[in-house]
Amino acid sequence: MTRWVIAVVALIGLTMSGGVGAAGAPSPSPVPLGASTTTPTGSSVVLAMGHLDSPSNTFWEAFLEPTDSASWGLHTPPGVASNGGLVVGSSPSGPLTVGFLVSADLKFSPVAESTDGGAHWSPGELPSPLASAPDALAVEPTGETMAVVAGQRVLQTTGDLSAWTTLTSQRALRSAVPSCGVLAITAVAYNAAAQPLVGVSCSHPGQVGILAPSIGSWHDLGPSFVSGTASVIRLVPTVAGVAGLAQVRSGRADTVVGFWGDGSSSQWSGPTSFPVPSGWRVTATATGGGAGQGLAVLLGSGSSRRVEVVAGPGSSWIMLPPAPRGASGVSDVGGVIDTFVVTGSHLAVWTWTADAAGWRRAASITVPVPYGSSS
Amino acid sequence: MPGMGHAPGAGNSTIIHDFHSSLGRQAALILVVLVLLFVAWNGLRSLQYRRAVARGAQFPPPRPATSPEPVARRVLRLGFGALWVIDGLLQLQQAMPLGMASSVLRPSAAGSPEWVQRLVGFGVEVWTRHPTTAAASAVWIQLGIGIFLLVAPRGRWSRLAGLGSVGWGLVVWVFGEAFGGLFAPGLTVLFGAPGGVLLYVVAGGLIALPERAWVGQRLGRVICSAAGVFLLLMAVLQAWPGRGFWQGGSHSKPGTLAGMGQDMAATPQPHFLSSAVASFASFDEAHGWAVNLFVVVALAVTGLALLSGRRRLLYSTVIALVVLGLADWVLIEDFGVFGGTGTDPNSMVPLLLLLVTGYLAIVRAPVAVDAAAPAVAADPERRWWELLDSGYIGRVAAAVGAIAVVLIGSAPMVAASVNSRTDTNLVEAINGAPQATATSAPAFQLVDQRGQPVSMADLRGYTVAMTFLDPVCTTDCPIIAQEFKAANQLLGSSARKVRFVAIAANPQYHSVTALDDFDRAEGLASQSNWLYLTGSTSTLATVLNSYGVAVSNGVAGSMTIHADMAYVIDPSGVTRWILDADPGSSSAQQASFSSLLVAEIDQVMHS
Repeated sequence: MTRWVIAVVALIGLTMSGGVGAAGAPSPSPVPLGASTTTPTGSSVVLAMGHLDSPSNTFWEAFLEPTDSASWGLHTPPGVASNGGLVVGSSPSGPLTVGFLVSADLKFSPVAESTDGGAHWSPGELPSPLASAPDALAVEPTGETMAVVAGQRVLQTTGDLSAWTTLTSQRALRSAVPSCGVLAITAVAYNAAAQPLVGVSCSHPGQVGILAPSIGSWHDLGPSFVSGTASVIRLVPTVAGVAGLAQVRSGRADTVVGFWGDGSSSQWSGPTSFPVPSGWRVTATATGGGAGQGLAVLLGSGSSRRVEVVAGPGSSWIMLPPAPRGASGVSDVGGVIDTFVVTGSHLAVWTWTADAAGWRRAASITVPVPYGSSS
Repeated sequence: MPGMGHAPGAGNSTIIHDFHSSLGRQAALILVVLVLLFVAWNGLRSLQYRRAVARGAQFPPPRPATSPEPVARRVLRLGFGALWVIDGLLQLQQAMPLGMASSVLRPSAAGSPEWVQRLVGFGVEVWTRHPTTAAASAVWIQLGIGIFLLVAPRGRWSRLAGLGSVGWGLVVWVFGEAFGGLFAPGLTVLFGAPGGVLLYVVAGGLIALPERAWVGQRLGRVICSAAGVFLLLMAVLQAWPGRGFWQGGSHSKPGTLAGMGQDMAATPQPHFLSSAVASFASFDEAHGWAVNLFVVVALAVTGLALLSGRRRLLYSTVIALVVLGLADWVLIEDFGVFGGTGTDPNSMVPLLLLLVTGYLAIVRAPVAVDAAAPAVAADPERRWWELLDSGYIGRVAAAVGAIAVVLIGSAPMVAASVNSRTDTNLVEAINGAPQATATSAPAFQLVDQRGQPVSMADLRGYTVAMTFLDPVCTTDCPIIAQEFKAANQLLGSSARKVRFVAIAANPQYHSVTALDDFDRAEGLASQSNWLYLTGSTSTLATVLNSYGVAVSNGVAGSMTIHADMAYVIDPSGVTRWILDADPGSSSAQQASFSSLLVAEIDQVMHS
């Protein structure tokens, strides 16, 4: 009888272990790759198009709008499948560099550089996969370039996009700046003095991690005006220095903080923040708007969208009227806010201006999305 | 890249032809063995006859009196022998070579933990790399075990057949049924728990017991009690909340049982059967709670009745279970044999067979059993083979024949599982056979990944396997590079006489750095006979044109488009074979390409 009891208990355990299982915990959401940057020479936006539920039929496209033009044009560099994502690195007066994130069996990231606004591209290669972050590439007007790559490293080159050296790594930064507790490198930028800046996620609360090199080491320049743990999601050069966005988590509440500084000292303007409502998430970001220091954030919940904008230091975030449903990108070009709605291979550009009552459809672009070319 | 990512369908004529050829060859070999056994049996009988006539003895000699095989054991042995034969015949379906892994093996492990999937993955790997060999082996092994059980009623031969059933049953239960879904959600006796083949294992174990175990009612009571405990456990599992059995359906989504029924009804089969299954699924969707309550109560009551051991109660319980079980077999398990890759009649028939065996072992239990071997009086003038009963000799010959069937079936599978070369017919099934040619390979002057100049003339004296690769392509090119790397490993020491060559096929990305990045990413940087060649855009265009390889720049995020071709060039610079290098969608197809490339390289090296 005892044997039967043991057998029954064992079998119950066995059947319950298979039959009544529990699901695993969800992983944290990554920094949204859909991003726009405006510089004095023009604006860029990267958007996912195609069949977004199928990785091999999702193609990321780069659209550029030169300063002297009023329309967006497709300028995805040729020669590489863009299924993994695109990152655009631009400087106020230098070349435009696009990096391809890896997808399928590609194990390193090709890059392409243009000095004529995307008309022609020169190829280059990063020896490792580019990180999935909107400011994973930074370009200095002289052509010097930085990139955040897999393994939490920052690579740099003086101009030859095929010859990279390691600038720093998350491990090195973590030991150099213990006050932050660097979790991950999330952005890179050059300040006006061509000094590299690295934006990070800090594990220690109350600190936005903007790290700059000092003699043989790194130190934290970032603003320390927040409670909660902060992750830099944008870091870009501006006419007056640098501007950035950080997502701050305090308990279960998320806040987006905009900040501006000269990028070479711990002096920061702003800060200005807005809470992310429960159930909403950051869907896309834009920098360089207004007089060159504006920031915009597209928030999404289901297919609902709303846009928060701030003109620059000293201003407050303004929530615009509800944006077109399903928008996946936002740009801020001289105070003109565009949102981008992708439906397969069609892109609708919706514009909102301060003197308009709402959003109006400004343009429609059909992209020859190469379905099936990556499967 | 035409055909990129294609996989041969289960109805692929090349694979089916090879499957039938394998079966034919093995059938011929089995026929030879059976003829030899018949000749041996007849020869022995003739010798016995001559000796008997010479000695004036009776022929055939009188058969010694023996007690019959216990009824329960006979039912069990013949029943499961017939089931193995049916399973073997089901393995003859032409969709088995390519459909087994994708339609049976992988889905059976889909919801199971990772360690189960990894274990099943080994079986999937063997089957997908050697589909025709594995499918043909499965036919003969199962037919052999079935025949063995049917023809060997008594003694060690019969017990050995039982052990054969245990051994192969365990292989199928683990690798084919992923432990019968024991570790996956949705486990239910209504749909096959704990795996039909596990019941074959139990039956084989019972048949392998010494015959004295069948004397008296003890074994029957153990079988009935075990069945009772099993049914009670299944009742608990069926009643467990949150598993979707209490809800027939909600928000137009079917519950677990209704969903299973709908899936089964969608299997290709005669309309009246699918409509019966679909009707029951609809009924369950509408009355899920009531159906599950009935199932839980039926399982619990019959389980308790079996545990009680009362003979009168057992009879009505077994009758009830047979009726309910057959209803489940028809309306829920849908016979288990349709769809082109049905491998067995699912669990309900073997479960009922075991139940009936348990019942018969109680109510028809023998009181004493004679030894299986005939007892013959000692006669020093007669040799041992003269003492053998002719029927016994015949059964031994049949058993040996059945073992031969199993061995002839299993030997190729064992050989395949340890063979590092995948069957080449997998890739030929989709890409076609390599094209033989005898034209001079066009000359070129390029540089390799280290910046060193390389020309076609420099490659004279080596057998060359060549292809065109885009260093930043995301799909085919890295895979083709891995196929070349695998071919290099398969060649072993012969690889030193071979040069594996790729030429850059991207108008933008073809710098030495790009090639070096590609090599390091693909683990080719240290392969000394690997050359990745490049040149100026115009030089590359000329080389590509001379080999007839078209390259076009994609737009809007498309990779560069080019043909996937491979060439085998002999040491004198003559192209001998052109292969379609489309890597296909599975690792088995890719391994198959490597094996095909090696086969052609071997042929060129030894011609």
